[in-house]
Amino acid sequence: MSFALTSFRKDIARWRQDFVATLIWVAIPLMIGGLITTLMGQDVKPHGTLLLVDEDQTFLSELIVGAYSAGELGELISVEETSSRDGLERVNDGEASGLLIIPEGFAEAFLESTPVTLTLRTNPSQTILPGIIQNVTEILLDAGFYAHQLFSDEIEVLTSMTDNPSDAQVAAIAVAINNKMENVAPKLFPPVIEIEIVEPPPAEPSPPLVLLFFPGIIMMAVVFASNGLASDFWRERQLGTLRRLVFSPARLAEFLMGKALAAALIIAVVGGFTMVLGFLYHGIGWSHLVSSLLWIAVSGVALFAWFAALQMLFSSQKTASVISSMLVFPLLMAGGSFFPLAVLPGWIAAIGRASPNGFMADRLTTEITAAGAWSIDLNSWLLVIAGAIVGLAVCVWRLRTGFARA
Amino acid sequence: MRNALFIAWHDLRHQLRQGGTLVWVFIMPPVFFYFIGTVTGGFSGAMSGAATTPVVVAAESPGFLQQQIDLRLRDNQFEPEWREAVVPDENGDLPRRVLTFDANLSSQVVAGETVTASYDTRSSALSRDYEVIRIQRSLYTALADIVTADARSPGDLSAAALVELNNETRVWQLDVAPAGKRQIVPSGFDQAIPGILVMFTLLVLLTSGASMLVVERQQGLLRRLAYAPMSRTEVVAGKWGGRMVLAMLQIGSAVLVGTLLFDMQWGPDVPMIVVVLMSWAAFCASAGLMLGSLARTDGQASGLGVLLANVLAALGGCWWPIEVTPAWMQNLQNFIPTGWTMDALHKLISFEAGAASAIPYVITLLLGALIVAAIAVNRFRYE
Repeated sequence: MSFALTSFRKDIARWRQDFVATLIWVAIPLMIGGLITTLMGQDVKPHGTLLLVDEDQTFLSELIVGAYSAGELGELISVEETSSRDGLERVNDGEASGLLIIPEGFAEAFLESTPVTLTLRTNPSQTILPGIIQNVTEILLDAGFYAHQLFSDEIEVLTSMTDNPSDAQVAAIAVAINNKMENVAPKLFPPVIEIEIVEPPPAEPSPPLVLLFFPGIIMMAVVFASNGLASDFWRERQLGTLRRLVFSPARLAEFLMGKALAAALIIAVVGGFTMVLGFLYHGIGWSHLVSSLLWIAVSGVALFAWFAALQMLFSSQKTASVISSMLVFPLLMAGGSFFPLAVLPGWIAAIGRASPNGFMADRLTTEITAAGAWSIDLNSWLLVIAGAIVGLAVCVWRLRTGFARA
Repeated sequence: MRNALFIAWHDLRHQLRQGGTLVWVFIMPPVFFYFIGTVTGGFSGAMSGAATTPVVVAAESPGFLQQQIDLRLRDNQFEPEWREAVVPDENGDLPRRVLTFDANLSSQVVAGETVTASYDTRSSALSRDYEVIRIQRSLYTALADIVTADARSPGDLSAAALVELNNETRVWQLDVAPAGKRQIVPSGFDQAIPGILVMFTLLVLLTSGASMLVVERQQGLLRRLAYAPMSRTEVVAGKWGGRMVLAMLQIGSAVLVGTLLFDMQWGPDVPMIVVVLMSWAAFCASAGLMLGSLARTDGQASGLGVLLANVLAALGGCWWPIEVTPAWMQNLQNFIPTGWTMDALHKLISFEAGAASAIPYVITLLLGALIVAAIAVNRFRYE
């Protein structure tokens, strides 16, 4: 057992010497996580500019202009009035999300029932804001259409009135509008179609999207670190450590146990740093920290063991490195490190959940989103521990069957 | 010059013999094209109206209102499939999206009774909100149709009254088109490929380009070059050239794969796109050389390379449309090379704004490449 501790101390000392590389393992998920959190945070909303050309300058056109600046929409879109020429130039240059031109005769068209066309030019390099602008504009124009259809008679009377209508005319219009409202009221108050959006069942809680990214980013750190640590077997072989080891009375299993313990500690530090910051940011209960840290440490050892076993199967370090790189990135993609499993297409998510890191990220999600700590089921713990033991056993076998002697 | 070409040629040969480099140059970009394009494609396609969303509409004896609701769902990019009831398929799975109406929809509405429309979706968190907005818009428009047609009709609400309303000319019409000359908004692979291409060029040049220089320094190869009859400028130019050709090979391969496998539409200004990407390659080659000169160990070079490439890609708009980022990130994008390259590509691909529109970006990238190369030359160490 003392040799295992010696092996552990040796590895920690070696990794401390190249602490910049270890810092980079910490920095990669931290930076990526930070950027995604900045982007997906609740306070962050897409923001763009709508260039507006109001050639009509009437009460109705100003109503349209005002609609874009009201409420939540106003937080997404800044409206900037401009001229038609400048607007076209700027939207073609990609400086705005859209350009809306309300032509002269916009209000008159409503009163005279003569069609008029508004022009909307959207930024093709953007995805969300042009869609929102188009939807809002269509809804506003639809509202105008229905108002026109409902009150066409009254609008006709209004347009035929002189500048100084009599009290009787005003009263007649008011009564007519009131009658129309009473006519539509039975189907509108309450509406004859009531919309109900079914919430996701409680068994499948839907935490904020930004929180769903968090376990995948932690697992990215764990996968990078465990793969990097696994490549250390090749370095030790080149240095002759492994060859000397097989001819010494020390036990390979203890040597490997020391390496696994060092890997667990380094992985816990690498993943733990981002994890603590994530806990602070997301307000996750600190009671989940120990169980989450232990989970990533044990998972990390399992991944380290299998990456090492895989790398030791090949005849050269280059081949081993190429194969493990080819494996790491698809694993990260499917396992929810770039996009959470919840937003991946069904078939990719299914593969992801079956992949080792996807399975680990999925259980970590359970742990950090559950009400109480230690929410990962016993079977999952046993599976990961068994995975680590079998992986390490394969490593011992490979060290004994020639890898260490070469 | 001959010496520089000699070094460039041998550097390139050496890099192309490295399995890792080959994987990152030729295999990983298409894998990422497929993955990112597939994941983001559904979402952006729905936002831009490029893709329709299938939905099962369950309604027992819906009557004439089925046609009107169907029309409004289709207006909002849904593809409804009407059924009398929802039953699980042979695997016991329910449809992914179900809109359920109470029985006898039309007769209840005509009688002024409230009908519940319940929408259940298992869509991902990313697209769920937008889907709900579209369902609400479809149903509220249908409600407005019902109320208006009913008010205009002398008798009870009928299919004929709704048809008459649908045939009315809209006084306010909207002509929507993307800005620029391109008539189709890029989505899915067309949107994902340029960003991934820009990111991978930087990633390969910053990692393998930089770490190769570190390894050569550690192994004493650079020290031996110092004693060879060639100037320092020739050595650095040769190293730069090898990386530049590697970047161009990667870009060429990715453009070819993007076009042939993913049907990427590059627009009419392909020669200018090539010029932009070559300028980008020049910048990346300089950056790889600079990082290789600054890093002390192989681990530092490749680690910092991965870190810088990912951060610059994210901030420059390679990962997501820059509009979704906060204002400070959008401003920052104007000052970083990935942002310049993405802007130039958007001008040429998304706006089809003409070759001249990308000239300022090309000049900026080449200037950037020169400045970074000057730093690399200054910091270049033989040992």
